[in-house]
Amino acid sequence: MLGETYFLIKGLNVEKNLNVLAKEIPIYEIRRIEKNLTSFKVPYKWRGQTKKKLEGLGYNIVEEKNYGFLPKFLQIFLNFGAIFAILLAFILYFFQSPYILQYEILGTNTLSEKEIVEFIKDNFSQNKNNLTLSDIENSLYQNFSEISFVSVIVKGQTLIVNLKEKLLPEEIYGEFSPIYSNFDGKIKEINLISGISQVSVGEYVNKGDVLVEPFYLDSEGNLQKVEADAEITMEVYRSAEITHFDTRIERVRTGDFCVMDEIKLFGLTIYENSSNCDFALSESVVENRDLVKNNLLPFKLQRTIIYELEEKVVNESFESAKEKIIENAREIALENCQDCATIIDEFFTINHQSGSTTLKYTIVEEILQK
Amino acid sequence: MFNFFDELKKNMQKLEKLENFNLINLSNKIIYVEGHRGLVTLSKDIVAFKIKGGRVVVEGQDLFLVELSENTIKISGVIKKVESF
Repeated sequence: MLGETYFLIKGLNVEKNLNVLAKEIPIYEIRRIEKNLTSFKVPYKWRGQTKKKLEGLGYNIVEEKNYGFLPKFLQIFLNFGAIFAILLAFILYFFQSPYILQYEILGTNTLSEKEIVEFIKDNFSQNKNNLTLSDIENSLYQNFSEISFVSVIVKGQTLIVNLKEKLLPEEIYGEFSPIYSNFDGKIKEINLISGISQVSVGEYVNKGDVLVEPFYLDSEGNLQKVEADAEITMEVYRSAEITHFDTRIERVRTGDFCVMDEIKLFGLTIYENSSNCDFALSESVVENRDLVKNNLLPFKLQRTIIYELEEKVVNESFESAKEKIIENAREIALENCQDCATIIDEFFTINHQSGSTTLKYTIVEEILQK
Repeated sequence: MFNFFDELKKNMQKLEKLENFNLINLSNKIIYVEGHRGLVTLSKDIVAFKIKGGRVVVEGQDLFLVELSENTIKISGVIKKVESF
């Protein structure tokens, strides 16, 4: 039994009322102490009902005592509720103390605190044991260009980020490397932002030449490092040459050909069908095809077609082929263009020699280099 | 579940009117009663209760009820006499 309640009641005619009580409630250890004093016990869970009934029957309850585990436990729980609450708080604190619950961002001016908190939450654990503060510092510094200094500490369950935003212009914090020319061409315009320009408008430069040095002269005439930054517009020349021979030998297909088939499995030839090809001059074309669509047995067909060639002497003057040569040269020159939308000029030159003519087609492209 | 009274009644089926009440006395220290109709008197010297068609009086010293329910009574103490009327 988890517990029982002892009652000492004062009143007469107990027998009759005990009979009434016993119909609903189990009663134990009933003793008639005096004529008007009777004691008995009931299970702890029935104490309330018993008390109510006794009071309803007009008995005076002289004494009421509880025995057993349950009453004591409840009594302790009620009497020492504050202690239980403190214990519970300690237990809760013990389980949640390794976690970061608050974030405090100090020193923000242009940056958003919310953005920084979300960045930390997304990229790092909230468990203090898994946190490396230097990693957070490095990550913040690398991902927020506005930050010039950052330190992170954990105080209790709060992660405090102390940062300083950059006060100097952005170009002061860059990598101090010069701007090199990416093309061969002519300088058309220079818009210098920071650094010292090494070229002037109208000057021809080669690919790899230094355009802007990463320095500036301070008020005392000393060279100070600064990120080289400039917008330089260049005229870049894209050229293509084609040499035309008035008399030349061309190789053309005669129309004869032979076919060689090989069936391969995992790179090994398992079937081969070759015919005799005794061509003096030939060219071959190889085709590979999958014979099956699954990968279980990936049979492949390798077909080699050998075409017979013959040499022919072609006589063609430059003038008759000029338009075609110009078009071909232009196409080759256009292939070298970075952005054909910025073409500002195009021209060609012709150089005649004995038996051959060289056509040089040039496209002038305007490129903005930063 | 074994019930002493049921077993006893089975063995004595020839006797009639055994349904009224059952009473057992254990060494004059405990009396167990089934089928009572209500407690009548409770004191240290006398415990009396109604049965069907009469009443039973238990006399003794330091008597008390170990248990009282609607149907059963368990009396403990020094039992000197049990009378049924």
